[in-house]
Amino acid sequence: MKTRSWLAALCAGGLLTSYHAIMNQALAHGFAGDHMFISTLLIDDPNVADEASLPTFVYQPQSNDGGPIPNLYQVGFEFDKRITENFGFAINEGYNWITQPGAKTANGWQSLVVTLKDKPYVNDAHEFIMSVGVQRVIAGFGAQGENGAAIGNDPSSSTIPTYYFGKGFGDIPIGWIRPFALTGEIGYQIADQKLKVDPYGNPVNNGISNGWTGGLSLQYSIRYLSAQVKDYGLPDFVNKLTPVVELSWSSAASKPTQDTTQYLWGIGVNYTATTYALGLEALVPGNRNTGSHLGVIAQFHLYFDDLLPNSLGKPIAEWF
Amino acid sequence: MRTILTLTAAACLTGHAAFAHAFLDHAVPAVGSEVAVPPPALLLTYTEPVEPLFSTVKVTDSHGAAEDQGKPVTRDGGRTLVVNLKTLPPGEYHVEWHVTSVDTHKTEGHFTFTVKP
Repeated sequence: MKTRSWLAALCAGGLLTSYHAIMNQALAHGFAGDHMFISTLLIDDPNVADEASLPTFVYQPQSNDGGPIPNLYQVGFEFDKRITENFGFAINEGYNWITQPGAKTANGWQSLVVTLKDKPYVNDAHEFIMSVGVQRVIAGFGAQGENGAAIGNDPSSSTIPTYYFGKGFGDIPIGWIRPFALTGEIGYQIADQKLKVDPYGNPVNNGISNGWTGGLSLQYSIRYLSAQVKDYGLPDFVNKLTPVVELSWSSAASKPTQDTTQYLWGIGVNYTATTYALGLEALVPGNRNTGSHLGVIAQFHLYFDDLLPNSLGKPIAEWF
Repeated sequence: MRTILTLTAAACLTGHAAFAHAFLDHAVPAVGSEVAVPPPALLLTYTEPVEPLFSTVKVTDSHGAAEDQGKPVTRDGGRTLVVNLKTLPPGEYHVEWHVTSVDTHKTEGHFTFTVKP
């Protein structure tokens, strides 16, 4: 019940409002024909890969009904591994701190997320890629301490069937449009234990509601522009940049619920080298439930398929 | 742990620890360019060395007729693919390439260039 108590207190204080919008930061990159999809920061990308995010850092002021603004700091880690060429798994974990002037810092591990993902279809000619996955959010994995360690640690485990897609615009016969790509995901979170409330709306168990989660990213690859459309003689550094806009979203899908509908924008740029990528985005609240102040998300990302092509960078099935 | 992470980041940032996907760095004639003189050959320079035996380059005119001659050969330690061209009359030409880098990663791309009248 400590988890429930902390969650209830945090929700009442408006402290968890934007957590779900940034919790699923599975990250990877992949090719469909000429187009390489970058590792996005707010949503998962459609590829199955051998990669790691070490780490992802988030700073985001939270919404608050009054009083000092609480600030969320998060350090996240992810490891992606292929089992076969198109089937693999991912493990996500992270640690959160929430600070508020005049209050004790609340900190703790978030729920562990394990994802199985399969990429059954790639259309190179149309730069289209799709994959399906199942995310398992394991509650109670993190600490349950009195200092707020339950932040981001769901009171009930859940399962999220998820669909992913990526589409490059390279088949559109207008040169400057071809470097664009759109990626997205949509998932349905099914709680192991449904939330129950008393006649006054107060939770009476450790359940959560079902929910929808998803997002989109719009990317513009300077490398694609220079290598496929027109070479403007840009510096090598610029050719490795991909400006990107992301939108993540979550909302409740069953009642009763304590979750609010959240929209969160990420606007920034990705620098993709051969063996690593750096991502930096401003976090812009999309509605009042994700706050009213800008935050930031940054990530250092490793591509093991390029870094260690003969070991960690190839599917497990090919190790033997 | 901090030391390990720092070292990992430094190793990745300071150089190419391994060969990787070969991206097109630049081409001659340049991607999307217009040239006044028909080029005798097409040069494609990549970010990583490529295997010529497992790489193909096709150059076609606006009617789809092949304008490349012979198999591509490499220069610059494998980073540049060279394919000879027929004498190109004025018009737009389509280049389609598929390469395999020396660590077997495959990449592909296509672009056009124009020979001015």
